[in-house]
Amino acid sequence: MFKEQAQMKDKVRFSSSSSMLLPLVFIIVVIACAAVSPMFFTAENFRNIIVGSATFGILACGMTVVLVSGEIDLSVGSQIALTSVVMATLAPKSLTLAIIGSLFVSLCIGLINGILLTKTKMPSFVLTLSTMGIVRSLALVIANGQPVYGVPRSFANLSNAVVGNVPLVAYAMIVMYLLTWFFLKYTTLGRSIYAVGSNSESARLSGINVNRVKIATYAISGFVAGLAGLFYTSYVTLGLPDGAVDYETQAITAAIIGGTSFFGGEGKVFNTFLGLFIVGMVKNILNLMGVSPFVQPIAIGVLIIIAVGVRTRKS
Amino acid sequence: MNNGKTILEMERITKEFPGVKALKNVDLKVRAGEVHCLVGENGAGKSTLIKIMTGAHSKSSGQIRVNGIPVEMNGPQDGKKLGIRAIYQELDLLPTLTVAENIFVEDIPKTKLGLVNWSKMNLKAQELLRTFGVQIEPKALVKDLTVAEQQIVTIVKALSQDSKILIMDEPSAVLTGSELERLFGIIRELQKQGVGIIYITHRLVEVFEIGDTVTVLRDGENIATAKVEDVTMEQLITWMVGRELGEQFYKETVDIGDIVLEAKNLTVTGQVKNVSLQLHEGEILGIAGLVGAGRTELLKSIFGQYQVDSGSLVVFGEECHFTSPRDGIAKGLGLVPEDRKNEGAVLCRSIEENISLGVLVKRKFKFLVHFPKLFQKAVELANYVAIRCHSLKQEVGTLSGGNQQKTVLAKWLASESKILLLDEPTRGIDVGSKLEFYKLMAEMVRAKKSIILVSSELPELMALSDRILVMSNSQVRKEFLAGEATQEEILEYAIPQELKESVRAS
Ligand SMILES: Nc1ncnc2c1ncn2[C@@H]1O[C@H](COP(=O)(O)OP(=O)(O)OP(=O)(O)O)[C@@H](O)[C@H]1O
Ligand SMILES: [Mg+2]
Repeated sequence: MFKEQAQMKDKVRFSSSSSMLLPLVFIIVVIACAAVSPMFFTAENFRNIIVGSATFGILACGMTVVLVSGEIDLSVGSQIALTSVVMATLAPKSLTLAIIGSLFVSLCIGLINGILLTKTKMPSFVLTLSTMGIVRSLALVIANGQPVYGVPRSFANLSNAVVGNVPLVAYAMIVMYLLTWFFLKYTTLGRSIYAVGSNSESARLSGINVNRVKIATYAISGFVAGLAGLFYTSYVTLGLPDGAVDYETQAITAAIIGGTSFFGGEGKVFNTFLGLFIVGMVKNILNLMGVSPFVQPIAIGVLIIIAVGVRTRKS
Repeated sequence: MNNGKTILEMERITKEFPGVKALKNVDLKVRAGEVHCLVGENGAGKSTLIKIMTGAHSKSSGQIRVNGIPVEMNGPQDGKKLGIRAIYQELDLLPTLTVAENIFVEDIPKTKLGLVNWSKMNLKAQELLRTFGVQIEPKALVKDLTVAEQQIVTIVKALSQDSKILIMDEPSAVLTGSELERLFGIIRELQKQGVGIIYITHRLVEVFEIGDTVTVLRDGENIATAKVEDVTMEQLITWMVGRELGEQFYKETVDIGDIVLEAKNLTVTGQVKNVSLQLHEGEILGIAGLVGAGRTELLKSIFGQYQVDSGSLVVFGEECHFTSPRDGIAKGLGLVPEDRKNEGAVLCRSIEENISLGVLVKRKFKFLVHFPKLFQKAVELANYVAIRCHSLKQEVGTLSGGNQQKTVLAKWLASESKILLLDEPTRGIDVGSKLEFYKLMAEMVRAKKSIILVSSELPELMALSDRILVMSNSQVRKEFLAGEATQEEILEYAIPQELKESVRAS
């Protein structure tokens, strides 16, 4: 009995120490950046970091949900491109229609991903690798390979808008993270996503409809990609069929630096948030120091290896 | 108690898997308030039958009636709606979630707004765990628990909701002593409430302790259903195996040679405390103890899986400091682990590949593998331990529980280890195969191999061991020679001091 209690304490201590790791790294990065460059700790610079990370940031919410379910969605970058094209094409007719239309398109792509996944039982990496290409190609075909002009000024201005000296996108991002956190922690569907990611056969035996949960997960991922696409469109003020390349990897990076497991069942969206900003700040400080953008991926790569390596070695 | 009305009837149930007919026209009736035991050899179809009952597997043909009404089940949800609940043989838990979430995954406590009510969930989980008398933290992650603790969580999970029929597939396999008593207490309680219970076990004594009715399956057929008071142990075994078995244990006396392995004051912080032991050539050294006594940990620290903090280990006259299982294997050690699903078998690969792994690790660096030769060895060993399968190419994950265990065993036999560390090797193995396995052990010691045997089944341990060490609280408390101690005396040393005091105090 005593031994059991002692073990229990060990466990609690261990988990609390590993959950403190990330905030600690976050703080260290902030301090280090501030020490390196006097320009880092300015409102202007923070605004840059936030605006620069907003699209990935929103995307990373959806990606965390997908990763927790034990799957991956590589098609979200292409989905952003497609939504931006749809948005820019429809906007001259009606802005409302354009917004609803582009969200609807991405929701449908998510649903199709989910349905194909559950019907074919193929690995999600392979499936979404294919849809990534298909969706990208769709965007290029619709736009005829050209940027689509047609995003109204009013909508484009949203990305620069500031409320009380804080960019609007910052609020939007915070709301997104709060919603995702709430969804994952307090809704039955959210908990079912963890259950399915943890062990889908056990989840099935416990009466969870695994296929439905997977389809819902991809629908969410698609919808979130649509939202990210709207921000992206507002930011670049165009429909860009060849834009947002690599955005899925950025979202995955934020999530895994935040400790989301690649094998499902584990992950916290707030940690994704921290991961996002750790990456954002590292990129930012390298820019401020005038380091070549070609070198930056090296820094990010090393960061991932350290962040994930420390965690996997511990367990 | 046997007069309750029939709540579940299964009629002419047949189930075909690709390549095997797992069930052939099986009939089964369960009454309210009855404990219906289901026994049979490994691969007889017990787990398959109960999975059809819960809707986890679809049947190929046959009919199921609940309270006289025919039902069709398309998934585990349907079984649950009818009040049919199961504790499956393979622990069906969610490793990365908390204990409380696992217990309530089917029916998460919610607030008025329909949101997950975490505080209520943790509180209710705590209460339920308490009624079982265990100290498991509801917020702990399931993957951090021991196998026995996980088993308790599955039991508590099944009890968390009302059910009309509760199925338990070898729940006792990993439990010992007091936990088993509590499980039986709970079963009797449920029985009084009119729940029909189906209880699967390979420990046949339990049938006589807890059962009202017993059904024997053999090769997917219902061989007999009888009242427990009307049958004898011998009769049951004959039904199961299809012939008379004679002895239940098998032991040969062989000459015991020199010391092959000696541990002095072996300590792994929090796991093993100051353990000293000697193992001789041709000897079977038994280790007794309750769940959590540190037996598994001791084996793992000898094997090199745990880093030893202090103390020394001498193997074949050479002082050893293993830093990984590879080192242990290189010195001629082999470990058949307790947790076969995670540590023993590669579930998604074939039987022959799994067994061959044992040979592969022993080979010195040779680049090319001669598969025919490798697999021929596997075939021999698979026959030897009598794995029931339709082909050696079958994935281990689709074997019955006991046959998975035999595969792991065969793997370590293939490695030709000189010192075998066996952790609950007969768990989940049927009586007939157990006897085969005991003969195999006898053959190994005759071939001058040595064995350390950890087993929670005291009769087995007492019959096979030349010496028995009793562990509790990570320490060795007592050593007995073969035939020197009774079961009670061994238990006396196995129960930790604090536990005895707390029992006395309450
Ligand atoms: N998914 C599957 N695919 C193919 N064959 C299977 C599958 N599941 C079970 N079988 C086969 O069905 C037969 C019956 O297996 P089952 O698990 O019901 O046995 P059991 O009586 O529970 O044995 P044990 O005592 O070892 O648990 C075995 O031959 C097994 O290999
Ligand atoms: Mg079974």
